This record gives sequence, C-alpha cells and structure tokens, in this order.
Amino acid sequence: MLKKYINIAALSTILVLGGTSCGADLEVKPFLSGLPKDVITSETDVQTVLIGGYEALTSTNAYGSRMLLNAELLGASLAEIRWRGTFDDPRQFSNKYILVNNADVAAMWLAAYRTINGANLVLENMALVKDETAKNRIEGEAKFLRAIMHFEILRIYGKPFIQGSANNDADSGVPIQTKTNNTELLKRSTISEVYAVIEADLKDAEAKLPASNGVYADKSVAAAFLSRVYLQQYKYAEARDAANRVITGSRRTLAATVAACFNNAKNSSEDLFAIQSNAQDNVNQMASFFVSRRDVQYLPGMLNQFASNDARRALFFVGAGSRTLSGKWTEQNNAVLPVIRLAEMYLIRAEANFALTTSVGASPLEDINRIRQRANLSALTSLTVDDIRRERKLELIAEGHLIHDLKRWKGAVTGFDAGGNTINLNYDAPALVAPIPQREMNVNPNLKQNAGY
Amino acid sequence: MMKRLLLNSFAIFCLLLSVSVAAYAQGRTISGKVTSKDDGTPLPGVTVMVKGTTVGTQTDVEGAYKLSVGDDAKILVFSFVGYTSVEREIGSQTSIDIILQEITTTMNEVVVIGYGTAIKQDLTGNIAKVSAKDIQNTPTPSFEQAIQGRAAGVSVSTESGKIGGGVRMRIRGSSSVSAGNEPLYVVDGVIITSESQSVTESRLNPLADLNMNDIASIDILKDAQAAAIYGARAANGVIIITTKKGLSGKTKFNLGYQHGWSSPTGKREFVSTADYVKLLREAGKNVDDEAFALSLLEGYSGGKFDPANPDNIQNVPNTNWQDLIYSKDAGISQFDLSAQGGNDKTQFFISGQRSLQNGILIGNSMERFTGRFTLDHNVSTKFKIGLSNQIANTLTKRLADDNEFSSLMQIVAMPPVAPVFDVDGNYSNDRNDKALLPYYNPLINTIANRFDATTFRSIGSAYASYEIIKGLSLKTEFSLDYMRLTEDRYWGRQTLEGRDGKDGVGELSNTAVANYTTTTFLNYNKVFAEKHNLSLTLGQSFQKSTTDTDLLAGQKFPSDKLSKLSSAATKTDAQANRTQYTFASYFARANYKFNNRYLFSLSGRVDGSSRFGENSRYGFFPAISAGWILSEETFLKENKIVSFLKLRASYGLVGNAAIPNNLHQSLVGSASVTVGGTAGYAGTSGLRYIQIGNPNLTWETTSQVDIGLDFGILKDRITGEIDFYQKNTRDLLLQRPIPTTSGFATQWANVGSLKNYGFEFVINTANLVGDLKWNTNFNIAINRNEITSLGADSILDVRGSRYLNVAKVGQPIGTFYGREYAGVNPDNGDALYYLNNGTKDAKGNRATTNDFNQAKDAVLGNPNPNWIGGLTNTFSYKGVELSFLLQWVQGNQIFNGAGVFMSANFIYEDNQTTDQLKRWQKPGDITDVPQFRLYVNNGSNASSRYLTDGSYLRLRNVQLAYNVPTKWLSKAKLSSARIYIIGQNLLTFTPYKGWDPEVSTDYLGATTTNYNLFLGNDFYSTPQIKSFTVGVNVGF
Repeated sequence: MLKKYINIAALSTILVLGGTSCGADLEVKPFLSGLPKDVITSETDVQTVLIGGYEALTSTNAYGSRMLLNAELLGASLAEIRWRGTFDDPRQFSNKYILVNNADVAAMWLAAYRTINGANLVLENMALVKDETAKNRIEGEAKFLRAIMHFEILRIYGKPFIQGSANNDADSGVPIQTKTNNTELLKRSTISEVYAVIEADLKDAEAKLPASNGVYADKSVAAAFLSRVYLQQYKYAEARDAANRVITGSRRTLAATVAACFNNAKNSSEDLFAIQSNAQDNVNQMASFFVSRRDVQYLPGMLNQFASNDARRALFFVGAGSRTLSGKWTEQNNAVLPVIRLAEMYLIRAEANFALTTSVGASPLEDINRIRQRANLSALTSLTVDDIRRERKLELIAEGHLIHDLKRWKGAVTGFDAGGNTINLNYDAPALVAPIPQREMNVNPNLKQNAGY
Repeated sequence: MMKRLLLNSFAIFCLLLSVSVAAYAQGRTISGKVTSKDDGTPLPGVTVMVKGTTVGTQTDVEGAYKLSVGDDAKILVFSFVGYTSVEREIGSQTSIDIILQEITTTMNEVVVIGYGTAIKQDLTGNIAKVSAKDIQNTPTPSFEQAIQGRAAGVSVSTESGKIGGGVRMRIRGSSSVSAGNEPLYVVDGVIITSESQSVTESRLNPLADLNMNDIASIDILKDAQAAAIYGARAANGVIIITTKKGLSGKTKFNLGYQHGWSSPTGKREFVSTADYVKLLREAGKNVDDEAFALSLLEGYSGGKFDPANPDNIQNVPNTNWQDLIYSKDAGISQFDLSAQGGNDKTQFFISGQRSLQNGILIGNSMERFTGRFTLDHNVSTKFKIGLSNQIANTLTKRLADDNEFSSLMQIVAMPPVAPVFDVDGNYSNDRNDKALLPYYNPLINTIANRFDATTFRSIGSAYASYEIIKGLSLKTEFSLDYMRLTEDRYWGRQTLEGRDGKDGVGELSNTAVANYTTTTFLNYNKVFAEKHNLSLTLGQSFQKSTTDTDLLAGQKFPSDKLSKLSSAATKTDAQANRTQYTFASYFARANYKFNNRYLFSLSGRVDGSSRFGENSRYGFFPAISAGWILSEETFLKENKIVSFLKLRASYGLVGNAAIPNNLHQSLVGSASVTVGGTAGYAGTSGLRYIQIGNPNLTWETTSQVDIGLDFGILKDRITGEIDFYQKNTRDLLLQRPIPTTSGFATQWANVGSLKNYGFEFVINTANLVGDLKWNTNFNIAINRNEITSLGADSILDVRGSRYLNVAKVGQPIGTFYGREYAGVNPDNGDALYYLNNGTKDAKGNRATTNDFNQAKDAVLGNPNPNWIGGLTNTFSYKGVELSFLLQWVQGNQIFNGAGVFMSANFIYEDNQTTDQLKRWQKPGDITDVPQFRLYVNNGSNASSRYLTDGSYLRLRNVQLAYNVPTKWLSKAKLSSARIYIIGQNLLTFTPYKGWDPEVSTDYLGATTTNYNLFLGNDFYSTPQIKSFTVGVNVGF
C-alpha cells in the first residue's frame, strides 16, 4: 500500500516537473520584425529606415493620391470639376461640404504623421552614421520628409495663411511632431510656428543634401519645396530665389511637351521629385481615380479656360459615359507620380518676380512664355497678374494645387451648403479648411476643432 | 520542447513500471443486454460502470456487455445519453439485463466537463448540451448553425448566406472589446484552430471542416465553474465536441444520403425603370441640372432613352438586376457512410462523407470530403490506448467581399434602364460605351474570376490512460491540428482587378497552421464511507501554434485559360510570414459530494503565454462552486410534485488572450500585417516602426458569478434550469485609440472594463407520453452588456464615415452612436438632424438642423438583442417523428450601411429602394424621405435614418421523419432505415425591410476590434439560405 502511494507521489511530481521547463518555450520572437536595438545597429540600417520613411509617402492617403486629389477637388468650382465617383469622401471635398467624420480627413492626417514618424526614427539614430557625407545626406532627406508632410497637413487642416498677418492665432496650425512613437497629447501650434519648423527643416535639408541623389530628394528638391513654402506665405523674394536656385542648379530640363511629363515608367527630365511606382509596388492611385474609375470629371467651366490650341487642353480626353478626364493619369501600371516638377519653378519665379517687380533669373514674361510656348501657345507681349495665375492653373491642373493657389490668390469657388444650395465660398471660408479628424478630437482633448465643425 | 516530450514519455514509462506493482486480481465477469423501453431495440454504446470506480465498458452494437469486476464491486451504473441512468445491485448475479427509459429530462445525462465527465445532476456549473440527435443531417455548412436556438444564452449568427463564411458565436454576450469573443473549441480534448485563416477580410470558417454527422455531443461550458479548467482562454465559454466512438460487437454500417434545394430567405425591393427615370430627372431638376440627368439616362440605357423625348420610355430596358445573381442549382447533395464495431479489446469507428453545397449566389459552393477513424484499445483492464484522426479536404468556391464592386449583391445598384448585354452580346459594363453602367458589372466575375479556397485539415490525437490504483487514472494525450489553406485566385482580363493593361491578375496564398498540444492529467475518484464522493483532477498542458502564410501574385497572363501563376509574365508579390504562440498551463480540480446532497467544487488553472511580456506572462484563474440537492432532503424527498431540485452557485475567474502575437513590444520591420505592404520603396528595402508596444500587456480577466436552480417536476416530466449570472471583465485588452500624431492610430493596453449580466431559463416538458409523444424544449435568455470603463477615454470610435458602431462607456458593445435623423423639413425637403447638444448623450436639444456638422452624436440604438430564444416541439407516433424549431432574436437594431447608396436621393446613380418613392416633392409634403438632389448629399449620411428594428422570429428547422419498422427491415437485412425531409429557415417574420435580419457585413472584420464592434450592419450582405432537403439513412 505504501509503495503504491509512493508511486502516486512520484507520478504527480513528474507531472509538475514536466511543466517547469516551459518557461523558455514561452519566449517566442516575431519573425518579421524586431526590437529597434536589435535591428537598427549600423549606418546601413539607418539608410534602410530612411527608405521606410519614403515608403510612407507613397500611401494612397498621402502622395499616392488623396492629398493631391482632394486639394484639386476642394479648389475647383462646381462648374469646373465634379467628383462623379461613388466614394462620398472626395465628393464632400468637391461639394465643399466636408463632414467631420470624412474618412479621407482621418486617413490623410494619419498618413502624414506616419511619414513624420519614419523621418524621426532616422533622426533619432543619426549617431550610428559615421561617414560625414552619408550623415549629411541622410539627415537632409529625413528633414525633407518631415517638412513636406508638416507642410501638406498645415495647408489642409490649418487656417489659411493671411497675408500681412502674424498668423499667430492659437490653434491655427497643426501639431508639430519631432519624436518617434510619441503618444503625448499635442496641441495645435500656430501657423507661423509650423512654418518656422518647416522652413528650418527644408533649409537644413537644402544645405546638407547632395546636388544629385537619384530618385530621392536632393538639394534642388529641398529648394523647390522651400520655394513652394515661401510662396504660400507670400515671401516672394525667398520663393523667387529658391526657385531660381532650382532652375539654375537642378540639372533638370523642361520636357519637350507637357504630355511627356506624365505616364512615364521613370522620372522625366523635368521631374524634381516623383513617387516611384513599379509592378511590385503600384502606388500611383491618381491613375485609379482620375481615369480608371472616371471619378474626376472636368467640365466646360474648366475646359473653356484653355485656348483651343493649348496642348494642355488636348491632354484631356473623353472616356466612357462622355466624361472628360485628365490625360495626366492614364497609365494604370507602374507610372511614376510627379509631385514637383521644374515647370512649377518657372511659374513661381514669374509670380514672385512680378510681385516684386524684379527679374531675378529671368523676367516674368520670359518665364511665362517659356511655359506657354511649350504648350503650343503664342508668346505674350505683356503680362498681368491674371495671366500668371491662369498659366499656373492650366499648367498644374490635375496635380493637386487648386485649393492652395486659390487661398493664396484670395479667390472664391462655388460649392453646396447643407441645404443643397449652390453657394460662393471665399478663400477664407471655414468650409475650405478640413476639420480635425473626429477620431483625433476624441482621443486628444488638447486639440481645438476648426470653425464650422 | 523535446525536453518536455521526454518528460511526458518518462511519466508514461513510470506508469508502466507501476503496472506490475499495482496490478491485482480480478473478480468475476458480469454480462447482459441493454434494451430500450420504447421499442425494445438493443441500445449500443451504453456505459456500464462499477459505481465509484473507473471500471467500466460499453454495450456493443447488439446492446450486449461483458464486464470483469472486482470482488468488492457492489453496484453497476448504466448510463446513456438521452436515457435515465439505472443503478443495479450486483449481489451474486452474473447476468444483468437492463431496460433503459428514454427521457426528456437531462438530469442524468453525462456531460463533458473538460478533462473528465460528470453526471448533470452533480454539476455545480452551467453546461448546455446538444446531442447528435438534435443536429444530425441538418443541411448547414457547419455545426454551429445547427445549434442556433437550441442552447440558452448561446447566440449563433451566421454572417450571411455565403457558404463557408463566418459564424459569430457568443456565449453570454461579448466579454471583450478588442480581444476575441469567440469561445474556445475543443474536439475530443484537442483545442482546435477556430479563427479564420483566410487572407481576405471576410472570414472563412475553419469549423466547416468538421463533419456534423461525426459529432456525438456538444457541451457548452458557460459559467466560470465549468470553464475555469480552461482558464486563460475560457472567458468566452468553451465548446466541447465529442465525436462518435467505436463499439464492440458486430460491425454496423450506416449509409446516408440527402439532397436539397435552396433559395434566398428574402429579397429587397428596388424601383423599376419608370420610377428610376422619374426620380433621376426629378433629382436633376432639383439641382437645376436635368440635362445631366437626361445624359446619364441616355448613357445607361444604351441609347434607348432619348433626351429629346424624355417622356417616352417604351424602348428603354427594364432590368431586374437582382434576379440575375441567384443560382439555379443551389442546394445540398451529401453522402455519408460509417462503420462501427469491434470486440472487448478493441473498438473502432470509421466514417466518410462527401458533401456538396451550392450557395444561393452564382459561383459559390463548398465541396467537402471528410474521413474519420477512431480506435480504442484495451491493452489490459487498466491500460488503454487510442487514437482518433479526422481529415478533411474542403474546396470552397468563394465570392468577393461585400464591399467590393465585384460582389454580386452590389448588382442591385445598377440602373434598371440599363440592358444586361450590349448589341454584341457582351455584358454591359462601366467601360462599355454600347451598354454603359455606373459600376463594374459583377456578373463578369461569374465567368472570368476564380476564387478557390482549398483546406486540408487533419485533427488527430493519441492517448494512453492507465489506472494506477483503483480510482486513480492517468491520461496523457498528444494532439495535432494541422490545417493548410490554399487560396487560389485569378481575375481575368475583363475583370475590374485584371483589366487596365494588367492582362489578368493572379494571387496564390498558402496558410498552414500547425497547432499541437500535449496534455497529461490525473483523475482520482473515490467514495469514502459511502457518503463522500471525491473526484480530483490534476494536470498540465502545453500548446504551440505556428502559422506560416505565403503569398505570391502576378499579372500579365498569356490567356485567361492559362491562369496559374507560373504563366504570369510579371510577378508582383512574394510574401512569407511566420507567427507563433505558446501556452503552458497547469490545472487542478476537486469535486466533492457529500451524502448525495451537498456538492462542492474547486478548480484552478495557471496559464502562461508567449503573447505577454516577461513580467506579466502568467495568470491564475480559480473557480469555486457549491450545490445543494434539496430534493434529497427529507422535507422534499417524498414530495409528489417536486421530483428534483438543486440550487447551485459558482464564482470564478477566467481569462482572455485572444489577441495577435508579439504585441507587447515596439517593433520595427520591413513588412507588417498591421500597417500593410512593405516598407520598401523604389525597389529598395526599408524599415519602420510597425507598432507601438506595451511591455505591461497582460491577461484580460473575467470574473463570473452564476446562481442557478435546476428543477424536475412530476417525476421529471417537467425539468428546467434557471440561471442568473454576472460577468465582469477587467483589464480589457483594448486596442486603444491614441493620437495619430504618434504615427499610429492604436496601441494595445489593459484598459477599461465591461460587464455582462443576464438570465437564462430552460424548460423541457414531456407533454404526452405513450404511443403519441410530444416533447417541448424551450429556452430563453437575456443578456445585458455594458462597457463600464475605457480608462481615460469615453469612447472607442471605429466608425469612419459610413458606420455607427462604437464602444462607449455606459453603453453596450457596438452601440449605434451618431447623428440622429429628424426627418424632412416640410418647407424645403432638406434632411434634418436633431442638434442633440447641451447635455451629454441625452437627446437634449430637440431643435433640428440641416447641417450634419452642427448636430451632435447621440446613442441611437443597440445591435445586441434583448432576448434570444428557441422553442423545439417534437412529436412522435410509432415510427413517425415531427419536430420544429422556432428561434428568435428580439430588440436589436440593424444599420443598413448601403442606405447611403440605395436610399440616398441620387447622391449617385445607384438604383433606389422602393420606399424612396414617398420622397419630399413640394412644400408642405410630410415625409421622412428627403428631396432628391442629384450628386448632392441630402441626408445620405450614416445616421439613425438607416437604423431599423432587427428582431426576427424564424422557423429555423422543421423535420419530418419516418423510421421503417424493424419487422419490415429484417427481410431486407437492414437494421434500421429512416426517411426524412428537413426544411431550414422556411419562414422568417421580421420588421426588417432588407434581405434578411440575420446579417453581418463580412469585410468589416479585418481586426478583432472591428469584428467585435461592427455588429448588426448590412452592406449588400448575402441573404440567408432557405432550404428544403430530403434524405435517407440506412443501417445494416
């Protein structure tokens, strides 16, 4: 009997023993990812992290389409462009009646900060980069990425930059993020504070980036964005000089035709910066919305602004259902997506020179005619501010500039009110500023919503 | 791992050694036969046990048994599912024949309690049992659908009528916001893979790989006492499936065949051409753009509509698109064959099934082959070994997710003015200028798309059990559930995905899940001094699950006929992913019964999981319970009315760890399932953060208290159960929203709490006994769910712009929350919303606005039902049986997510539901349908406008069967024959105007949080299946 119980006791012990070795088996590591301290250990790794930042830019909610698409729709009158797609979120931009729960509003915000997080992860690991040349380049690229995404969301969610004002109203800008994975409840900075950070990053980027850097940001790309940033703030001299630096130093040349700038598998001679797309990573969603789905319909109100012989008018074509579509986005597969191209630099230089009555680099007339002549138009002999604006609008149509230019030029567009009535909206109308995403307002009590929402 | 296997082997080895020590002489042999009182037929499979021991056997196919018993054996217990157990003194007898009476009561039923069994009467927890008889031959793709309405507090809802799709199972409500809410499934002791493994957002149900006709019983462990033995993963209840076993005796074959026809349970009404033209023109006029409306009509009618003569629509097509998508050969065709037999030493069960189910939508089907083999062998009276293995090969031909343009159900959006084909016989389409549609025509998918999901599944286990000393046995099990899912998809050149110069797109994914478990446990049963029944269980278990997912994609195919990926000229994607988790567990249970009256139970489990960080890896989940059988007390023992009465109460902790792996760390990677895509750019690899970790992440814990009463009245003619319970879940594993300025939208944390409380009532009555029998089973349950805290937040908002579900403090999970629709302004036809500002959530300010942005969100409704229940009536007379099951769900709302397209004042050209005809047209009109305005939003937002009552009462199952009398059968050398007809979902009563009120939108479940919260949404969801099936079962 005793022996029996000894056996039982022995067995029970074995049972328990059988389990004690489990501790090690509970240590299961992920196979596709790792801790930063294990994965990011060298200069090469930091370079790889930088590529991760670029990738975030290609999101359909960033430059992959929505940031450009919605800027185009929000800046056009109802008689110019209409969203005919089934998604309601871009339609709200097109109708100028954006709801606080708009999904694009939430997604663009996230896409921007995701890119910024990637850039900050690079900057936090700069100590690993020993080579001085690489250090400058990598830091420059990361700051470039961080700057342009702050710039995009500032223009979408921030109040319009008012010429001659300090632009220092509390909560008028967007939160500035300079740390990784930072869950702090940030406040909105003022417009001028955000611009200060953007300018500082871009200036640093321009200083540190090499003159040429493949399809990645180089010195001229930083300068080109800087030129855009200055222009939006009416800093004409700085905008002009930055554009001029690009024109003279970028080694880019205007393509023979505007058509040649689009639907290319590789960057055109004119592309300063374009989102790369390939069969494995077909990220050009502009093609999907503008052409494949026939969602963005160009109407006579816009088309008639072109002269009949304008080569850029000929880029439009009539698709199924008699919808006039933009020919800039016809290639559905693997076409690079131009984000900023040289022609814009001539237009900025012209606009800035004109405002300052200077002729740095070239006279405004020369620059405008250069753009006109490429589009098969006759050269102008004299120039008004409207000529410059029209030329810019027609040259950059379908590339996501309309709302930003409209605000700068203090223009107006038509849209619908809640009752479905067509209304005129001035450039500073609250309806032309996107709401802070509802979900963001829910989790961050420090954020203040825009007027009208 | 190897080390543990060795240790287990060592344990078995030690056991074998002790055999020689512990073996002692056997006494005598008792034999006999067990028959049924109803018809005198032999009862195979009856358990015959020496009371208070584990010595026992089962009757063979002829109802005969033979059992060697020790000299000290006094009483034999005969028990069988569905029959009253009988105890008989052995005395000096060597032959004991027994007649068992079929019961409607369940008091003496054997129930499976996890690492053991018990008699229902002795339970102190709540376990619902569904037996094979209730569900066999039910023509549904998976067994869960067959138990719908049969167990109290168990809510089963099939997501849609897509064959093989997800089934949502909730036992006593949802206990988690972001972790899984599905119960743990255990088949013959094996914890099986039950989560969808598909790469699509919509779910593919892995439980459809089980052959329902192999199931002997399903035990549903609902309260903490019952489930705590499964500790860390028992918060959502445990479903234990026991499959059929072999029996000694002559080999008995069973052959079954069934054939059925099916159709959708409902259709939705859309306007036809005359009204479509009228409405679209009106919508155009209302925004001063009738010309645009006319041009649309001209385009969509293939030129048959003449804008110059808009009132003449004689030549304009009038297409009923909805009718084009339903399959003509929907239905089931199923063939079953099984054999069982064996001798005293060895018993086996073998079964095979081929089941083909064609879905109600064209192109949707499931063909399943299953085979099962079970073998039990008695090496000696003390030492048993056995194995069982099931293999399944299932080919599911799947359809696009509900939100895809290629989803067949979205065809209802097409204008009726459009023809199906152009003049050349090609499908009308969004690219076809001869016959233009506003959207891609999903009918093209029926000819140019392939989506074959093939599952190979093997669930196998082997065990050895040894009786060390009398009453003490040790069992060790090793099991492997291996599942490999291959999803082979091809989109032809004409399809939405494969066109635009891609020349066809192919994608192949393979997901293999290897899930193995080792379990070793001791059971000890002993009766002391006749009054003390003690039952102890002690054991440990280790589980490791590895999932490998590979995906390949390509485009540029030479031809749609050569559509395997090797033919693709451009390979566009290659992924290989692996993820693993492990669980290590120790468990113990003690059940004690005193004097047949007082029951006590104590159980606990320690679980450790790789899913949590080092500091918080282990959790302890104990439960305590007690019961009092009042009817054994002298004051009730002789009572004429009350034949059984038991009070029971339990309290315990159970856990939940159903979250993705490796969440506790902040990780960087080049590819990620949480962010999507790879971090590479321009052909160069990249790295970035893929998640924000949380090193303190640990178990979510649910405490549950259950107070119950089991009763039997009038010699158990009436039996029932009443239960009250409350489940409090704390440290919610919450995918908490964080400011996206961090780069991420969510972070997992143990934050917040919720509770479920409710009431369950079950009553079973034998209304008529005798030749004509009439039994009724009725169950009804109420569950109230409330989120009690979300930490610092008051809301977890996953709504986006198109849905309303949130988790909100003070409200049930998935509450509909948003703008409250206030109807239409009679003066101008504007849609109105209540402002609802002022007080928080209260529908305070009843002033209205036409500006959606100015209105505030309010709680609008609840997707969770107030009551669920089922009523089964069974009649039998001689060989004829009739049963019907009514099942209902009451008090929940359904949100029509497609309302913003199909009942939306022509914000787009989608065809409109007929109820939109009562739109506002002129000042003074009183209606709740706003003025039609082409391309302008007028109330077409997610709001309470699209929320309706989703209650339903359904005739879930009707069955009429005839058992051919034995005397006729013997001539044909048959042992049994049964002919039956089954109607499934024949009638549905509901105020819901959509296709079917049992609805869920399949694409909204990409994350568990979304799956848990997006309840009660209809987005072009496929209606449920109504079917009529005839069948026959023959035994020989």
